[in-house]
Amino acid sequence: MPQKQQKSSRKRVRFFICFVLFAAVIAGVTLKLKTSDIALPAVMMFKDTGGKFQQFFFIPFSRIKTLYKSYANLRTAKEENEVLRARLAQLQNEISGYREALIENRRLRQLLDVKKQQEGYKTVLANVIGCDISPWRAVVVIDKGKIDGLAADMPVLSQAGVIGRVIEVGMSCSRVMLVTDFQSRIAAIIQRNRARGLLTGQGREGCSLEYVEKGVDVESGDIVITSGLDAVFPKGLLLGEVVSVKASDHSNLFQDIKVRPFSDASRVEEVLVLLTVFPEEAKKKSSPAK
Amino acid sequence: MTDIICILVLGYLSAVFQSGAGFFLQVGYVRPDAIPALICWFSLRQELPQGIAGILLLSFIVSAFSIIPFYVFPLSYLIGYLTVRYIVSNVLEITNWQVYLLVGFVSIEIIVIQLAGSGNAELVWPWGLIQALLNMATAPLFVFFFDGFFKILKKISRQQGKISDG
Repeated sequence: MPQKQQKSSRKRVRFFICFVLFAAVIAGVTLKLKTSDIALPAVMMFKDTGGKFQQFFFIPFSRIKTLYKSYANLRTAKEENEVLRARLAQLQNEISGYREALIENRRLRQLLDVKKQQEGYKTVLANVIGCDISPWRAVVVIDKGKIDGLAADMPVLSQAGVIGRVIEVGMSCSRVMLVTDFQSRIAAIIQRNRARGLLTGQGREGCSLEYVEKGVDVESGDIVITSGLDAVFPKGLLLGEVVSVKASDHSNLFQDIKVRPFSDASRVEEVLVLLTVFPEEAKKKSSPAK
Repeated sequence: MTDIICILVLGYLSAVFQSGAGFFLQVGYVRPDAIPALICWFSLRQELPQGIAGILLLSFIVSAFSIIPFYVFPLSYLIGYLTVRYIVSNVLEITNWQVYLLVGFVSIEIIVIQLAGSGNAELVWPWGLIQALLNMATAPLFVFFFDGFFKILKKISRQQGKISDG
């Protein structure tokens, strides 16, 4: 028995020494002879065969990983998309607001030019807030009234020229009869030849210049301005442009002149009211002189 | 009483809407108008003489939104109301399509009176007729809306009655 035990212990020692030597050789080969030409083909062979096995496992796992990643990305992309959409809508609103402000600025600048032209008068800027309930009446409602100094028969201007006159005044809003209303009449003259007439509203068809005698030279394109004779509109305000002239039949003494107003009432948003009767002046006039 | 409150509230809302959004909805001299449908709807429900009070109050409200002569609205609306009452008193039952036809008929009456009264009688043809046809076409929508509003108002008044009884 002791002999058998000695033999087996020797075997173990030998096996251990062989294993250590083998490990040392392998380590030596890998560490010291790594770059040598003799070891390189063997190493490369291991690498190649290992690479094939690696590939065998790596590709499906990488696919799974990619799939998972793309799913995860998709989820984040969905959230990101929603956030970006919201941001886009917000930016579009902002751009629309800026554009609106820009256009409004342009309109107000034009109105300011009109205001500068009317140096002798105080003016009030008003917004159009509504219209008449009857569709055939060209009447708009503005957001200024008695407390802003408005009174009936005050001229109302847009950037392009006369738009109408105040006909009813409330405390904080007023009604403006547009030049195209069927009941609108404005004393006018043709700028080129100073021929007098009466600008009458014709609804959708614009206006007509009435009571211009047949002998008077009127052409398409002539500018029509206020004459100031009606004691409502100051002289020289732009009204419109002659678009057609017809010599009516023999029974009629006057020409048939169509006028297109410069200001398009259906598109106007801000208007300028000329305070032709100042409250202070009215008070002075009404109070007895000392 | 609920009918009268209903016509006044709906009339006011319609007038505000038409004067506020009228420019954007207008084509030529025509725009959607709920008032003739409202008058017809009310006239079918409310008998004389209480109905006259409702119609007159409605005309006062609507005339505040217009510059056409004050008397034109009560006159036109009252004639519309009386016409419907006369027709209703001579028929046993009135169907929905007949109500819509009636809206067109009452519309042309109202429009003729209003156009003539405001000095624009030349617009009756063709604009007045087109407006009446438009009112007739939009009547189902308006009548549906009025019915819904009336039901809500009735419900509220019943609940208030219960509370006061309790």
